[in-house]
Order: sequence, then structure tokens, then C-alpha cells
Amino acid sequence: MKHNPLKQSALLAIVVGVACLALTLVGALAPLAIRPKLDLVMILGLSLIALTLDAYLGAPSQPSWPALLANTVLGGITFGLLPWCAGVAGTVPVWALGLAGAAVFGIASLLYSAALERIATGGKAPLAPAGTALMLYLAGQCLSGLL
Amino acid sequence: MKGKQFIAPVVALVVAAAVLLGVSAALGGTARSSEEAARAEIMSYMLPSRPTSFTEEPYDGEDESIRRVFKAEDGYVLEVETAGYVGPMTLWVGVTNEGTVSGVTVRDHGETFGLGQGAQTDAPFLLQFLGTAGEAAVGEDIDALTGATVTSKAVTRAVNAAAAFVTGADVSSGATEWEG
Repeated sequence: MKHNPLKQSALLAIVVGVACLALTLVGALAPLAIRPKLDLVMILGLSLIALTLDAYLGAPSQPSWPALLANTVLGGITFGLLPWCAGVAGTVPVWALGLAGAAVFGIASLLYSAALERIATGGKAPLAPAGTALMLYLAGQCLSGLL
Repeated sequence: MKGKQFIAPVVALVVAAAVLLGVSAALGGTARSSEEAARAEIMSYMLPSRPTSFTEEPYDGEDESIRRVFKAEDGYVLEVETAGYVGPMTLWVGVTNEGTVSGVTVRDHGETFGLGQGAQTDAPFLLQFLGTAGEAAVGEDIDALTGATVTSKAVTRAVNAAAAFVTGADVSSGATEWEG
């Protein structure tokens, strides 16, 4: 799986699956807790976690448009399907979550690889993947606030 | 792109979906009963007599912000949804049969961290609503949260709507116990 350009989609499925599982367990066992909403900022956060894991788990593949397109489609399916399976989608329609997930994951993937390439200038840059994710998350939060 | 490169993400997706469906089905009953118990506990604090039993009543009035109506001996607890600054906010408002607000809690919101979020946790802000009877107004008897006027007005609208349900201002509601 090391050189698989779709590895980030597999990691996204795992990350979103774990997040949905946590939301389901909290909802069942601690119903008084107010759970975070599955909104654009949370979708971005989960996407960036998957992309960061992808960067730490081996050399990222050379970005290509077919891989980006495939990852975008798989991202949309992931964000549409898994929250629905876990029953945490709330009143948001599945298609809307899928569409938002595809758009956010596709754009985040593109920006992340471009930003990481520029930030990780040396041979060893252990904090670059995490730093890139943090930077993009804060930017996403600001944009969401403006929207 | 090779076909076998799709195996890993598809397998991960299918396994995650299967696990979530299983857990969701297994915990469905627990989630419902926990939610009911938690709701009853919170609502018991929202009316003066600390009632332990509530009966949900249908609401067919014209006020679209009122979602659910729970009746107890000495009043009502209403679930009200109102438009906040960021998105919809859900509140529970306790109103006595006399039409006086006796409890307010914000159950769900997406308001801005550090600003509108205070609507959920700022006790002095929420305490201002106790004793009002549908006429509360930001800038008059309600001091808005700092930097969150829109959120404060949204909460005020929701509380007034709940009180109006009991006082009869919402004429299409079935509440008739107003003694004020």
C-alpha cells in the first residue's frame, strides 16, 4: 500500500470511521454531552488528519489528476456513507454530506500536497506534515467563519 | 490508475461501514433509553415542582420554532429551535402554567467559540430570562452577551415563543392554563 496513490482514501475511511464510532458511543453512553456537529470544519479536520497520517506513513505518491479525482470521489462516498451508517448525520441529507466531503477532501488534498512540498524543504522535516495540517485547519476555520 | 489500487480504500470503507452499522444497531436501544433518562433529568430542573413525569403533547400551532411540547403538572417544557448567528440553535424552555419562564437550557448550537457559545454556559445571561413572561427584549431587560448580539436575540426570541405558547399569545396553541 506504500505507493498506492489511493492510500489516503483508505486512511480517510479509517479516520472517519473512528470519529463516527466515537460519536455513536458518546451519544449512547453520555447523552448529556453535546457532540460536535459534522460540519465543514469537522470534515476538514478529519480530512487533514487522514492526509497527515498519509504523509507520516510513507513517501507520498507523486500527485496526479486521476488520483486526485479518484480520491475526491472516494472522499465523497466516505463522508456520505459512514455518518449515515453510524446514525450521526442528523438532519443533513446524505447527498449533501457526500458532496461537501468530496469538495473539502479534494481541495484539502490538493492544498496539503502543495503546501507540504514547500514547507518540508529539508531532507528531515518531522513537523512539516503536522504543521501543514494545522495551518490549513486554521485557514479553514477562518474561511468557515467568513462564510 | 490500476484497478487493484482501489482494493485498499474500498475494503477500508466496507469494513468501517459494517462496523458502524453493527455498533449503531447494537447500541440503538441503549441510546434511546439513555436519551430519555437524560431528558427527563434535565427537564425536572426546569419547573418549580421538580416534576418527574412529562407527557409529550402534539403541537399544531403556527409558531414554526416550537418543535416539541412536554406537559407536567405545573407547567410545560418546550423544545424550541431558533436561528442563531451561525446556524440553528435548539433550546428547552420551562414555562409555568402562569406563563412565567422557570428554566432555560441550550441543548444544541453551532455558535462561535468564545462569543455566541456563551449562550450555553453563561449563567448570568441565562438567569435574566427567569421570571419573564414573553416580553423579554435585548437592550431593555436582557443584557446581550458581549460580541454576540445576534445569538442573544435568538435566545430571547426562543424564550418569548415558549412563554407565548402558554400565555396564549400563540392563539393556535392548545395551552389554556394561563392564569396571568
